[in-house]
Formats: sequence, C-alpha cells, structure tokens
Amino acid sequence: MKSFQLVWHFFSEQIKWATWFYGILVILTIGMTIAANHWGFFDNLDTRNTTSTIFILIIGLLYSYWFLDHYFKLGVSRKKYFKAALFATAMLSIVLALVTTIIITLFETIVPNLGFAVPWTDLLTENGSLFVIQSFVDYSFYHFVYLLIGWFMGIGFYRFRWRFGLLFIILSFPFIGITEFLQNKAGVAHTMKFFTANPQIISIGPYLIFLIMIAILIVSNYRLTKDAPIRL
Amino acid sequence: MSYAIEAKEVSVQYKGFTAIDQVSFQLQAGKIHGLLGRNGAGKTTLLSVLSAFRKADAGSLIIDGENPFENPRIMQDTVFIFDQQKDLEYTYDKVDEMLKEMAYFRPNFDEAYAFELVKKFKLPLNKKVNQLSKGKKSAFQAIIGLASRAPLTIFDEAYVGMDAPTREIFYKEILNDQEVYPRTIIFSTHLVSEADYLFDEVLMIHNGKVLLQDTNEQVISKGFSLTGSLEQIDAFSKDLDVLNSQVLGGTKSVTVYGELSEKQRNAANQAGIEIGVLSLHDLFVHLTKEEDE
Repeated sequence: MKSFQLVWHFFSEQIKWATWFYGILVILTIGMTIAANHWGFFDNLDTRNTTSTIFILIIGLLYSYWFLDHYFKLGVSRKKYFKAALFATAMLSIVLALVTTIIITLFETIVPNLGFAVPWTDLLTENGSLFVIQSFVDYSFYHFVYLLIGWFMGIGFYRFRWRFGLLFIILSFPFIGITEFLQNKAGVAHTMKFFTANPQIISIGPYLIFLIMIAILIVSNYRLTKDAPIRL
Repeated sequence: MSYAIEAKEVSVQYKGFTAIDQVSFQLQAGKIHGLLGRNGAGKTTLLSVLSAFRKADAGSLIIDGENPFENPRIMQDTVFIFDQQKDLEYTYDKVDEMLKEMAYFRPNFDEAYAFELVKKFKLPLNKKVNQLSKGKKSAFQAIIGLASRAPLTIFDEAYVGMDAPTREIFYKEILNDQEVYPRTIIFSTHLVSEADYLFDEVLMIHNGKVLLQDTNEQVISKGFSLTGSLEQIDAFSKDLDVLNSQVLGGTKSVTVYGELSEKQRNAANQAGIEIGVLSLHDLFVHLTKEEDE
C-alpha cells in the first residue's frame, strides 16, 4: 500500500468518527439554543474549544490502541504508520478547525436572523473576517497539539501499561497547561513584554511556543512508536 | 512466492523470564511447518518475533534474506493469524466490507477466493464481524489468512472455537491452496493428532528451546512402540530410550524414542513382540513430558 493511500485511509476513518461527533454536537447546540431562548438555560455556552478538544484528545488516545494495532496487523510497518498518522493528524486538525469555524459562523449568522439569541457571549464573527481566519489558525494549532498529547498519553499506556502509563498523563500536564495558557494570548504577550518590546516577537510568541511543543511531542511519539511491541 | 527463514541464537525475555532461549533453526520456503510446543513453551513469542510484532532481545532473524523487523516488504508479505476474539469484538464493519478492505493492504489478496471461502465456512456476509460467533470469527480470520496468499503465512491456534467439521474444511483448504499457490506456512497447534497430516516439517519447542526439527516422516520414524509380555518387553527394552510404559495384566507396552536396527527388528519379531508406529501426537506428548508428570 502506498503512503498516500494509507494517509487517506487513516484520515477517512477519523473523519467518519468526526462526522458522528459533529453531527451530535450540532444537534445538541440547536437544542441548547432553543432551551436558552425559551427557558434561559445555557446562556453562555463555551462552544469554541472544549467540546472538540475532548473529542480530539480521545482520538489521540486511540492512535496506538486502535490505529497502530489495526494497521500493523494489516502489514503496515510502525514507521509507515507513524508518517501516515502524522499527516492524517495535520489534515484532521485543519479540517476540524475549518468545520468548527464554519459551524460557529453559521450559528452566529443564522440564529439571530431566525429571531433567536446566540447562547454565548464572546462572538467569533463580531470582530471581522480577519479574526475568523485567525481563530481558524488557532483552532488548527490547538487541535494538532491536543491530538499529539492524546497520542503521547496513549502510546505511553500502550507500551508501558498502567503504572508507567499514568506517568505519561503526568508528563502531559505541562503541555496541556501551556496550551490552555496560550489560548489567552494576552497573558503570553504580557509575559513576553517582560523580555522584549518588539511587537513582532510578541505576536508570534505563542505560535513559536506551539511549534516547539509540537516538535517535542512529535519526536517523543516517534521514539515511543518506532520499536513498540504490538500487543497480541 | 514463499519465504525461507533462518533464526540464529534468537532470545526473548519478559521481565527477567526467558521465553525464547537462543533458538536456532531454518525453515524451508514453500513448506508447511508444524510448530509444536506445550502451553508456555514460547510458540507465540517466537511467532510474534517472526511477524515483527516485537524485536528479539538477542540473535539474528533473516526472512527472505532480510531482517523482518520494520521491513515494509517482509511485513506486508507476512500474515499472522492468531486468536483475535477480543479485537474482533470492536470490529463493527460487515464481513464483506472487511474482506474488501484486505485487498487494499495485502498485495496477493484474492477477493474471489475469499468470497468462495465465505460460502464454504457459511459466514453471513452482511453481518457485522463483532456479531459473529466465536467459531465464525475464527473462520473469518482463517479466510483472511488463506486468501491473503502471503509468502509467509502464520496460523497460531487459528481454529479456536471452530467445530470439528469446520476445522476439517480449514485443513483441507490449506492443503488445496498450498498446492496451487505454494507459500511458507507455519501452523502452530495443540491439536497435533488431527493436524499432523498437514505438516511437511515439524519444529518442536519446549521451555523456550528447540527440542527437534525434521521432516514429518523423519520425526515419526524416531519413535515406535513395542507390545508384548511383561518379561519380554522388559528384557528387550532395557537398553532403549523408553519414553512411556503401560502394563495391563501380563502385557506391557512401551513407547521408545530412537530407531531399531535390522537385527533388533528381527529379534523382536522372533520374540513375538509387536512393533508399532508412533504418532506425532504420542511423540509430542512423551518428549515434552515434565519429570514430575
């Protein structure tokens, strides 16, 4: 099997799951919008990240337990699997970010036109199209990092079982903490101003930290995958 | 296409326990090799190294001239069928979808043959794999193993849950398809007596070491049974390597490991001692018997 076929197969499997997840999410959001407008429940939903983050993290956790195991037993080498997984991760992160952005934008556009109020306050569309694009890029990075974190935890459990597997969860905490911190870029910018007054460095700072974390996670995941014993 | 295998001093350890201890052997290409060993002998560990599921801790392994570990060509051409009942519990695809997917990954996969086998094993094509019975799940895996026509095909207790007639179909299919599409097959089993006719060669392992390796005929010829009166058998077998003995009234039967010379055969015939052929099953049982058993 050629590498691009494997990437596509991998990606298609993930998209199947994502379709289910986003389908349910859209239905729930419609229900919550109705509930918020009629009864005043859920008047400030956090639709931006938390929902898709959980999904992404679970997908990442399944990378070893499901995908590595599955593809290896079909004759795919660990290295080939790793490359395919990485490309599929990047594709999934971008596609899910795009879907998230589109869903939120559509909600914020359609719901007020139907005479309902959007059940969240921090609107994505109220700051113009550039902010929407920036949010899309942010979501992509965010998804990518969370997928890699989930993958990291999953391969830790897969290789070392429960006792050392738990250690990988602890090791993931700094990555999760920094990722959440970077979501609030004002905080990062404030920290960076302490070291430099250059606005360009300050604005690319969060992305640089994201990239460093991504590099660390990719290298770690590769080293843990390349000679992992496959479970029988 | 079929692959030859050469293992030299291969060892595998699990947390201080030596599962495979400096094992060396050669498996000829295009043959059916019976891998025999008791529970915990190291069969599955050995097979997991051959199929690159894990790395050997020491020694070298060569399949078709190359190290199989992380070798995309060898791995793609190696099918390892083992008891995957747990994995299949989470397989929600239908039987026909799964078989079509195989063609995507296995270069020699014969889809038409797979569907022919589906009919023979009476598998419901539209049923989800996780909904199949235990025996049908095993049949499904056997179909994958056979239809993949991989140059190295490994069956490790692949018949779990299959009833006797289904196992018979499975064995016959191995022989029939092997005749037309020769490949290297390693067949690991506990059911020695019903599968011994499949084997061209036999590799027996015990406590992580190779006990014997030879052609099926040669292995069987290494043992025989003697039946006669108690005194006659005691006298005749005193210098032989007796594996097992049974006494019933005044009659004694012994199982002997080794070969009889022409002179010994004549002496046995003259004494009225009956010389019997030992089955692979008997030989396996006796050779792997522990001292306290």
